[in-house]
Amino acid sequence: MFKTALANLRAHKARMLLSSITVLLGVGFVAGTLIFTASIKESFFDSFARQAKNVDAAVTPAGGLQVSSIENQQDKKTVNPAALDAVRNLPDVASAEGRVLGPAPVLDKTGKVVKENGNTGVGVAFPTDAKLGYFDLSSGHAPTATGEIAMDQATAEDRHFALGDAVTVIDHGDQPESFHLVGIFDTSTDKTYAGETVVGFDTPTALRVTGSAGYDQIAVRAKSGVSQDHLVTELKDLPVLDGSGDTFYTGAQLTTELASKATGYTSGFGTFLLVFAIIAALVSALVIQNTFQILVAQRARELALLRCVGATRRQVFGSTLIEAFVFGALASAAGFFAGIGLSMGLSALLNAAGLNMPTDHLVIDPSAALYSIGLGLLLTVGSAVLPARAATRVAPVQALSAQLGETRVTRKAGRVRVGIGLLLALAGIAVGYAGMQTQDRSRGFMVLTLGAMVTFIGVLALGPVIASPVIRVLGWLPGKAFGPTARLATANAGRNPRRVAATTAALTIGITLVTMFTVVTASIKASATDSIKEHFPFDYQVVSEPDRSVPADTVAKLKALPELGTVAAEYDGKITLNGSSERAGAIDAAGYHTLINPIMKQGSISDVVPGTVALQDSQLTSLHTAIGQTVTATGPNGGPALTLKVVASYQDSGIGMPETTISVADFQHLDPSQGPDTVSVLAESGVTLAASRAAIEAAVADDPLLTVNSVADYKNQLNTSLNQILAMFTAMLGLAILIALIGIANTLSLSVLERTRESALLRALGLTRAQLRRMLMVEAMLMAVLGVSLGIVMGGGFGWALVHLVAKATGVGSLAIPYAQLLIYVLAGALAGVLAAVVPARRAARQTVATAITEA
Amino acid sequence: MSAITRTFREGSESASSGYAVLARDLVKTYGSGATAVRALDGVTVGFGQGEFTAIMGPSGSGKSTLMHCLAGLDTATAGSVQIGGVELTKLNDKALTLLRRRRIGFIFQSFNLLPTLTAEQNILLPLDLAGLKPPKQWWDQVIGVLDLGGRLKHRPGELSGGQQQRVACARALMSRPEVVFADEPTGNLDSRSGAEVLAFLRMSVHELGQTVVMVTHDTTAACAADRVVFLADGIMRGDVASPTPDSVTAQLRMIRPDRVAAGE
Repeated sequence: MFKTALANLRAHKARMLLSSITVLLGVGFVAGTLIFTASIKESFFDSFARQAKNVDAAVTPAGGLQVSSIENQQDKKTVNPAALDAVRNLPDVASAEGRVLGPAPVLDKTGKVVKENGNTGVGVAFPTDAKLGYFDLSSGHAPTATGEIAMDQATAEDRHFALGDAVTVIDHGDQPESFHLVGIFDTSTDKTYAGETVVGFDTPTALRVTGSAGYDQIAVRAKSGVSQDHLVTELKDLPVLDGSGDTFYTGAQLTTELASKATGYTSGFGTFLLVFAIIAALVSALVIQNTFQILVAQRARELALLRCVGATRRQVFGSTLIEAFVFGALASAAGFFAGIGLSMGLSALLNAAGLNMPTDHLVIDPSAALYSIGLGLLLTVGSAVLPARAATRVAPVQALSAQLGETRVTRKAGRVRVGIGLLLALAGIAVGYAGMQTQDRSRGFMVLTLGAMVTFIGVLALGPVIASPVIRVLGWLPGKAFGPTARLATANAGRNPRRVAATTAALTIGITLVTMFTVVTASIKASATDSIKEHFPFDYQVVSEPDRSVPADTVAKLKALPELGTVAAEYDGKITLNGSSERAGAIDAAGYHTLINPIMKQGSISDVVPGTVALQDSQLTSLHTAIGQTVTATGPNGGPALTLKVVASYQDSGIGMPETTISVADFQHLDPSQGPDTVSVLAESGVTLAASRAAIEAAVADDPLLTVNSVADYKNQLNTSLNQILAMFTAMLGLAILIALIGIANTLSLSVLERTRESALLRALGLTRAQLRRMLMVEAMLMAVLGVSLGIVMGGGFGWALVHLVAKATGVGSLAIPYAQLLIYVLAGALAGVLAAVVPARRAARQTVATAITEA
Repeated sequence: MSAITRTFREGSESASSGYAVLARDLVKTYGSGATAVRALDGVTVGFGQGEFTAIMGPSGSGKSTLMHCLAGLDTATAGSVQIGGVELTKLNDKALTLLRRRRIGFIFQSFNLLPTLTAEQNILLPLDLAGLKPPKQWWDQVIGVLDLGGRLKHRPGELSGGQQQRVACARALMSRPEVVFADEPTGNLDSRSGAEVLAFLRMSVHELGQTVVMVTHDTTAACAADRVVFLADGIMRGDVASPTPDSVTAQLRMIRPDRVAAGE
C-alpha cells in the first residue's frame, strides 16, 4: 500500500502543490517565529553579556540587576556611592567600577533636544579600567576628566558632531552644561539601549549629570588567583554594603542572570508572535483537511477499484494516512527552510512598525526544526484522519458506477451537526454574555474570550447550513450585474455547502480577528476623543520630560498670557494613603470643571481643597474608608503625615484620572521636590488657534525639554500609535489570510477538475470562454465574501462585547464601528477571491470543448 | 410548413442551397507526423432543412468527430462547414460560441444537464446566456409536447433518465435553432424512453420544421430518421433515404462486414 500512496502523490502532484504551499507557509511562520525569537534573544544576551566581561563579582541594589535603559528609571534604587572606594581598597580587588545609567538629554547643534523614538538620551559612566569597559570606541578616547564627553556613533553621524565639538547636555537640575567631545563609540548592535542617544562621562560627572544617588552596579575584577566566591564573601563583609538590601553576584552568576534577563525581554514577545504563527498553522490545517476530503471524494472510483481488487478498509485508511505523512514531511521540511527567510522578514516588519528588535545573526536551533516540522506533520496527518475514514467507506461497487465527486449535488448538512453547532453557538453566546456582566474586568475578559471561542466553533460547525442561504443572498448583486454567469456561479458556490464552508472557515478565522482588532481600536479612538471632550477638555498641554517638571516661572509666564483663558498646573506622583501606595494627582483649583470633569459618584471635584481628598470609587472599598471619614497620607520621602477628609469619589475614567486627587497645596506639602509635569491650557475665547499656539510656543521656547501638545496633536499621536498597532496585528494575521485565500484557489482548482465535463457542456450550450472565466471568478468571489462577511459579523460581535466589558468596568468606552473600513475588508476579500480564481479559471477556459465533453 | 418555420428563425439567412448544415471536404487530423490520425478524410455532406438525418458508422469511424466539427465544438483541420449560410471555419472562439448559443441545439448521450439548475433553468440556459426569453406560446407548446409541466422545478438528480433526456430535448428546441445535433440521444435509455425521445425528434422535424442531425450506432434509432448517412474510417460510405432496418443493416455490413457479423 505504501507504493500506492507514493504513486498517488506523484500522480496528483499538481493538485497537491497549492495545498503544500499552505502547509509550507503555516510551518514557515512557526519556524520563522522560533528562529526569530531565538535570534533576538541571542542578540540581547550578546549585548547584555558585555557587561559581564572580565567581571568577577558584582553588587547591585535591592531589586537586582538593571541591564537596560528600557527599564523603569522611576523609583530606582542604587548602591551607596561611598561603597566604591571601600571595594577598591579590598586587598583581593584588582579594580572596581561604578556603573551608572540615567537621563542625560543632549541638545543638537540647533539647540533642540535630540529624541529617538520619542525618548531623550541617556548618560553612562565610562570606566577607568578598560578591562571592565563595555563600549567599543571607534574614534578618540574615553572621557576621563570633568568636561569630557563621548557620544554614540549613530547620533554623532545624524547630528553632525565630530571630535573636538562642544556638546550641550541638560543636567539633572535642568541646567545646560557644555562638554568637549573626545570619543565616539558604537552602540549599533547593543540592545541595552532602545536606539537612544547615549553619551558617556567619567564616573563622577555621570553621577552628577544624571542626578543618580549612587551606582546601578559595582563591577569588580579580582586579582589573579582569587576565586569569584571568595571575592563575593569579602564584598558581603563590607560594612558599607551591609543591610541595605544589596545583591551580590559572582561573575558566573552575573552571566546567568543576564541570560535570563535576555530571555525575559524576548520570551513574552516570542509568545505573542507564536500565537499568530499557530493561528496560521491551524488555518493551513483546515485547508489541508479540505483538500484531502476533496481528493478522497474525487478518487472514489480509484479507491473502489482498490477495494475491488482486494484492499482491506485498513489498507485504504493506512494508504491515505501514509500519503498525508509523506506530503506533510516534504511540505513541512520546505516550510522550515522558508521559515529562515520569513524570520528575516519578521525582523524587517517589526522594525518598520517601530519595534526596535534587530537581530545580529540568525540563530537556527535544531529545536526550531523539530518543533515546526513536528507541528506540520501532526497537522497534516491529523487533518487526513477524517478524510481517510471517509475513504474506507467507499464501497467496491462504486468502481463501476460512481460519478466524480462534485457532479452529484451533495446532501444537506446532518441534523447532528446542526444540533451541535446550534448548541455550541448558543452556549458560547450565553457564556460570553455572562462574561460581559462580570464586574471584574480580567475575569470578565477570560469568560468572554471563552464564550467567543465556543461561539466561533459553533458557527463554524453551522457553516454548511449558513453557507447556502448566505451565498444566495450574496449572489443577488452579481446576478443583477452579470446575469446568467453570476447566477450559475451562485448555484455552483452553493452546491456543496460543506466544501464551501470548510474553505471559507479558514478565511473567517483571520477576518474575525482583524475585525475584532479594528472595532476595538476604533472604539478606543472614539472613547479617547469622547473622554477628552467630556472629561479633560484642554486645548493645549505643556508637558515635561519624564522625571522632570515644568519650571514654576514657566507656569507663571503661561498664566500671565492674555491669549490663554484657563491655565492649570497638574501634579502627578506617588503617595501613601492608610499605608498603601497610590498614584496621586493634583490640579490648580482653576482647572476644576474647566479642565477636568471626572464622572463623580459622590460629591464634587471642587470639594477638593487643602485637607480633603477625592478617591476613585473602588478605592473607598480597598482603603476601607467612606465619604466623611479621614485617611492618613504620607509623602514618598517620608516627612510629616497629613490627615485628609474624604469628600468625593469618582469613577475610573479609563484614561487620566489617578486613584487619588488632592489639592496642590497638600501635594506640595507631601512631595516638595516634585513640580508639575503638565500644564493644561484652555485658550481665551475669541483668540485664534494660531495666535494662542504661537503665544504658548514663545513662552516655552527657551526650555528645550518642554513639549507643547494641542488636542489635535494628542489625537494624532494616539491615532498613529493605534493605527500602527492595528497594522501590525493585521500584518501578523496577513499570512493566515493569505493561506486561506490559497485555500480558496485550491478548492476552486479541484472543483474545476471535477467539473471538466460540466464546463464543456456549458461551453457547448453557448457560454463563452470569458463567461466561463467570469463564472469561476464570481464563484471564488462569493466564497471569499462569505468568509469575510461571517468574519466581520463575528469579529464585530466580539469587538462589541469587549468594548462593552471595558465600558462597564471603567465607565468610559463607546463602541465605534468603522463601517467604511469594514466595507473595504469586504471589497478586498471580493478582489482577493477574484485573484484566487485567476489560475483555475484560465485552466478551465483552456479546455477544448469536444475532448472534454466526450471524456467519461 | 417551411414558411412557418422561417418565421420562427428570425435572423437566419438560411441558405439558398436548402441545406441547414453543409460540410465540404472536411478533414480532421489528430497528432502529427508518423502518428497522425485522419479522423475525417475529406467528408462532403449536406443536411437539408426540415430533415431528420442519422449519421451511422462503426466505433472509430469518425461520426462523433464529424458531429463536433459540424457543431462548432471542434475545429476542422481543413475544409468548410456552413450552418445557415455562415462559414464556421472562419469564426473565432467567441463567435463560434455565440453561434452555438443561438443557432444550434444539443442533445448528448449523458450528462446533458447542469446538476445545480432546475429543469426549467436548464431548458432556458442558452436563451438566458443570450439574454433572451422564449415566446410564451412556444414555451407552452414545447413543454406540453414533452409533458414536462410537472417536472420544471426538479433538479436533474430527481428526474429519471428519460425525463432528463426530454428536458435536454426541450432545451435544444427552445431557442428554435437552425439545427439540433443529437449525439446518441437514446444510448443511455431503456427502449421505451428511447422510443419517446425518437418520436419527439421526428415530430419536431415533421410538425415544427426543425432540422435534426443525430449520431447513433443503433439501427432502430437510425430508422426513425428520414435519411441515414454512413461513415467509416473518416470517409462517407453511403446515404440511405427512408431507412428500414434491413437497408441500414445491409449498408453497415457492406462497410464493415466482419464487425457487423460479430454483432456490434
